[in-house]
Amino acid sequence: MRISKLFINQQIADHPLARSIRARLDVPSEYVQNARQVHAAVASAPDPVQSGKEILYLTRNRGAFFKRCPGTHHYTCCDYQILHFGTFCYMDCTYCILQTYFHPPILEYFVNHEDLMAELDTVLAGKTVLRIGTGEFTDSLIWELWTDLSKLLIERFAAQQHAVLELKTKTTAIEKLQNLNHNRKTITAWSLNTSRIIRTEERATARLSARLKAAARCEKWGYPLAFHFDPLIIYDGCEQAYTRVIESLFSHVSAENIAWISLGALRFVPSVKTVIQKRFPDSKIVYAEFIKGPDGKMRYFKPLRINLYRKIIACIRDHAPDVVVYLCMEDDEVWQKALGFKPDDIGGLPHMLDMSAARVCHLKPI
Amino acid sequence: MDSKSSDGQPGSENSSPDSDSVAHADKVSLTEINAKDATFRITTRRQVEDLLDTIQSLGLLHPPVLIENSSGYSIVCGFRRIAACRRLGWKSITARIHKAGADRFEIARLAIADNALQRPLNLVETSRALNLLADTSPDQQQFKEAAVSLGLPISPSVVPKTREICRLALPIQDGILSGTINMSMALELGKLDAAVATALVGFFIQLKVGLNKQRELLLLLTEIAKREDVSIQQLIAEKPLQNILQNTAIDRAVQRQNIRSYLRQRRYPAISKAEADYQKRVRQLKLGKQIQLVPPKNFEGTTYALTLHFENRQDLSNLNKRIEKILGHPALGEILKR
Repeated sequence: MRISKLFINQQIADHPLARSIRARLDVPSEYVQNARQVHAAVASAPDPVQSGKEILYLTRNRGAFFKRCPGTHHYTCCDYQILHFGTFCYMDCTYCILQTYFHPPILEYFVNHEDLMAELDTVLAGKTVLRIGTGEFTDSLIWELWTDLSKLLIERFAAQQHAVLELKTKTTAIEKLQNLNHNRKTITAWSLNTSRIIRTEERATARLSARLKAAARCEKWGYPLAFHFDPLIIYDGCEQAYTRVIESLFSHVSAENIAWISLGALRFVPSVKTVIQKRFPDSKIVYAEFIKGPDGKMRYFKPLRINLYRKIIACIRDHAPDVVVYLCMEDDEVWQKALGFKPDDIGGLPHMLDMSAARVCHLKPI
Repeated sequence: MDSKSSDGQPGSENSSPDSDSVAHADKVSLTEINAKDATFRITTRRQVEDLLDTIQSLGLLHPPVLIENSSGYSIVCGFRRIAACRRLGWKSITARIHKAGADRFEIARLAIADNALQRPLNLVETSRALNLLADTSPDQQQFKEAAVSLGLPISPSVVPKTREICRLALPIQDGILSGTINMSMALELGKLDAAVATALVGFFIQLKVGLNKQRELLLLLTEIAKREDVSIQQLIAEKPLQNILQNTAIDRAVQRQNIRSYLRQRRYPAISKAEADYQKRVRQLKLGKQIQLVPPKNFEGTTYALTLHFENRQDLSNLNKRIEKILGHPALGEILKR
C-alpha cells in the first residue's frame, strides 16, 4: 500500500470519518470541490491507473449503496447484491476490470456510513434470503487499516437471520475480524489462484499460503468461508497447479464450513487487453485462445474452459463431495458439461446459493 | 550556356555575388562538395542514369545550389545532378553558392521548392521536407505559411505522423517507397525494434500483401512471439514458414493463404482444430449448394442455423428428403455433440 496523497471533498471535510481516516493515513491532503479535480490530477500522470492507486479520495456516495451484480446476458449470474462503499484497489492485478471500468479509476471511499447503514436497514427489512457482497468494485478488506466498516457491517448482519455478508479479498487483513460477534452471518471469502499466477499477475496481493492461513484463522473464529477460483488462467501445467491449490485449500480448512466455491475462467472486455499490454508488457495472459462472447467479453474458447472446469471440479469433489461449486458467468452448456447439471435443474443458481447460505450460515428466512 | 569549360561543363558566368540575393554563381571543384551531408536532401531518388546523356550533351542547364560550410560546400539543390557530374568524370561545376551565414529557413524553402514544385513528393520526401522546414522556421506561423506555399500538408493530425516517417529505419522507408507498406503500417513497424521491423518489411515485400493482411500477419506474429518467448525474426526464419516462402512452385495467393493458415493454427490451435473438424463433418454431410449449415459464432453459443435455397415446391420437397438424410447422419451428431 502506497497511498501518497489524500483528496477530501470539501462537503465532507468535517465528517468524523473523514477526519479519522485523515489522522490514520498521515499523508498530505488536499480539499477539492468535486471528483473532476481528482480525476484531472490522476489523468495527467504517466500511468493514470497506477496513479489512481496511490491517492485516496474521500467523498459522499450520492447514489445507491446497493446494486445488482452486473451480470451480462446469455450467461448465468449468481444474482447477489453489491454493497458499494468504495471503488478500486491498491493491489495491482493485471487482469483487473476496474482498470477500465472507471474513467479514470481512483481509489475512492464513501464516508457517509450513516446513509449506508440506513439503506442497509431498508434492504434487510425484507425477510427473504439475501447474499450481499462488497468485493465487486473493490477488495473487501483493503480498507481495514483506515476504517472500521467491516466491524460495523459484521455486527449489523449478526443481528438478523436471513441475509449474509460476503467479504471477498486477496489480503490477509483479518485481524480486526477476531472477537467480533458475527453470528455466522458473515462469510469470509478469498480469491484463490496458483502461486505462479499470484506471483506474475496479482501484484501486491497476499501469497497463496498466507491467504489460506488467514482463511483457516477465520474458520477458527467461527466464520463461514467461501473461495473463488476466479479468474482461472490457462497456461502449460495449470491443471496440476490448480490441483495443488485445491489440495492445499482442503489441508487448511474443512469442507463443511465452506458456503460455496466459485469457478470463473478469465474474461475481459477488449479494452482491458490494451491496458494489460501497456501496463504489464511481460504478462502473457492475453495471448491465449480467446473468442468474443455474445456479451462482448473475451473468453477462452469454450472447450478449453469446459476442460479446465471439469478437472478442477473433479479435484474439488475428491476432497469435498458435498460442497457447493458454481460457475461464474457461464451458459447452460458449460454447466451441463462441467458440472453435470444446468442451473434450472436445481431451481436456478441464486436458489442454489441461497440454500447453501441458509445451511452453512444458519439462516432462518421467513 | 553557350560555352563549356575545359572539363566539359559550361563556363562560370562570373564570380561576384548576385546583386539581388546572397547567392552568387561560381565554379566549384567537386572535391570541395560534401555529397554525404544530407541536411537539405529532399529527393529519395539515387539513380542518375536518366541525367547522364543530357548533362553530357547539353551541360548543366540548371546549376546546383550550394551553401558554404567550414570545409567546403554542402548541397542545397542538385544532389543527383552533382552525382551525375561525378559519374561523368567532371572535376568542377558551376553552382549558385550561398554564404555560410545565409538564412537557413530561406535555404530550406529553396531545397524543398527545387523538388516540390517540379513533381509530387513521395511520403519520405514530404517527411524530410516537413522536418527541414520545421527545424529552420522561426515560428509556427511561418512554418505553416511556407508549408502551404510549397504544397506540404499542415493538418495537425497529419504533420507529426508524416514527420516521423523519415526517422524510421531505412528498410521501412524503402518499404514505403516500393509501395509495399503505407504510413499507418510504417508507423506501427516503427514502434518495433529496427531488426524486427526490417524482417517484417522483407516478409511483406516477399508476400506482396495489402495493408489488412499485413495487419493480420503482424498481429499473429507479434502474439505468437510474445506467448512463445521467441523473436519475430526467429519465427519468420523457422522452417515451416521458410518452406512456404521458398516454395516458388505455388501461386503467391496460395502462398499467402498457407502462411496465414499456418500462423493462425499456431496462434489458435484449439480453435483452428475445431474449425477444421467442423468443416470435415459438414463435408461428410454432403449438404450440396442448396443447404447451408451455420455454426454458432466462435462455437460459443449453441444455436445452429440451417439455410435452404429453393425455387419451387418440388425443390423444397427434395430438400426435405435431404434433410431427413442429414438428420440420420452420424456426422451431424458429432457436430452437435462438439
